[in-house]
Amino acid sequence: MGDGVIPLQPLARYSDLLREHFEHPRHVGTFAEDDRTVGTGWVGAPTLGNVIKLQIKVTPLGVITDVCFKAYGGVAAIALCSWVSEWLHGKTLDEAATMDNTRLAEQLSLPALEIQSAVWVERALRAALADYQRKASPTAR
Amino acid sequence: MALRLPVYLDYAATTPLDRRVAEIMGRFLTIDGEFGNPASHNHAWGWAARAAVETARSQVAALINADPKAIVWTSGATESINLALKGAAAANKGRHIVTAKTEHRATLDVCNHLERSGYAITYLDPEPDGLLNPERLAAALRDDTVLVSLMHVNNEIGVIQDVAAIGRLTREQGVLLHVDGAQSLGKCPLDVQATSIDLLSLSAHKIHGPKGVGALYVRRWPKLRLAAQMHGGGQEHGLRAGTLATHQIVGMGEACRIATQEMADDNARIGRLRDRLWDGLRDLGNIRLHGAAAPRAAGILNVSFADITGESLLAALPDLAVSTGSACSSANQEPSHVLRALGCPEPLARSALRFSLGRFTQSEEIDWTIGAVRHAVNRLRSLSPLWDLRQQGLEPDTLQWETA
Repeated sequence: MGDGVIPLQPLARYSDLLREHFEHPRHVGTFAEDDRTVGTGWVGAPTLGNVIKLQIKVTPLGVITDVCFKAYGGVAAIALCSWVSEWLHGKTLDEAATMDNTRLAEQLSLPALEIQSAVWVERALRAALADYQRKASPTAR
Repeated sequence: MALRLPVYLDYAATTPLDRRVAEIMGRFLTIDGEFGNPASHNHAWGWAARAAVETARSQVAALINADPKAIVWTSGATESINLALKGAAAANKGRHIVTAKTEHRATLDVCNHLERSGYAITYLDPEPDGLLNPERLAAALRDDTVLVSLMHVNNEIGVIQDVAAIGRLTREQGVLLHVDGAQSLGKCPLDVQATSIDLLSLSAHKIHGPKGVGALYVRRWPKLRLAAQMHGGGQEHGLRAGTLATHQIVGMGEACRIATQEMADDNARIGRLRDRLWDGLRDLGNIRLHGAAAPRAAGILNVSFADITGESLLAALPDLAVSTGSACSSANQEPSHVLRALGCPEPLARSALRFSLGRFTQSEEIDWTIGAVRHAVNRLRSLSPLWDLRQQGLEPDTLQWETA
């Protein structure tokens, strides 16, 4: 502890909202990856300490009707996935694409040193959107 | 006994004072007690303090079967290690030191310092079970090797090195042997006369004594050359200057006296509780016990839980006091250098918890811990995409992942 940081109980540095999502994560689950209405984003690696799978279910009109995730990583990664899954419900693809790591960090008052976990979650979302769009494009048939 | 939360299973980091130790320490502090300076030769206060310090010296010596004159008081194991390594290196011929990658930071840091001042250091790799192969050690010795420094009981995984065999080797080669006994004093039998240990670092606070006091055993005969690292009033035969902290020293003596009497019973009980904990966790599946099953210290159990991170696991267990890696490094999220030296893959090393049990650990606490850990591991695995893959028969470590 040479840097003068007083260690805290593991969850004490997080906001109530973030803690709540870690303790009671929403929308944990899995959709079939080959479903054409599903977009799947896989990011990270075990050796990097984070692996996220985020999935969206989209109507032909481009509205997200269902979301689920699985996350391997720290407290923040799990909580951010849960929060963004809830937020994505009912959003259009265009609205969904406006979410980024800065907004995620703001919404959950993420400690500045842990911004990387918000970057992972943003990347998972972008990967899921791209996967859906690839499947939905006419050339993909 | 009723269960009290949180549960403390971090006895390898530090232990609470035994009440008998606290009681005796209190007698050496106030005007009503023996507060004198043990170096004051001219009055009763000094004589009483000196007598208490010498009694304590005998109590520490008895626990390791040493001549009391071979015990030098220090501020703790870290200082003892500094005195042993720097002092022996400075006062003896040779520019090469052998140690192991699984040593405590105190030893690694001192070796690092010596390396910068021109010494060559060999860091031995342990076997995957944490034990050192004596042949590998023999092969590392050179003509200019001055010292071998190894720990007896590893603080993270609890394996016990065969210091008797290592001592035969170093003695035969005319190389000094320093043993870091911080985790073994009072936990497993240690006999400096039956083994060829030249220097032995000891700590009080791991055995229900106070923090801030320790000792260095320095072989008496044949005489061992050691250069003091703390200069001043000439205490401890000039090896460690500074007014002796009578109350701390008396506390260490009492802790050693109790350990001498109660070690066998304590170990038997603690070992049973440790086995109960392991039996309660092992069928979670895909968990790894680090370090050889035997020989190991009774109180330490280091376990990795595949497909979840130690950080999230600790956060999911707010009422359990355990360590990830060692206490000194648990502020950072780097996987433990000890587990990495055993060849443990990084993700698995990251999910390790060290449970360490002690004299006051109760079976109710172990049963609660089993339930709490099982619940947390299952919950986090239900969130983990890696666990999903494993359930589908895929081994996450063998898959292709992105690189940073």
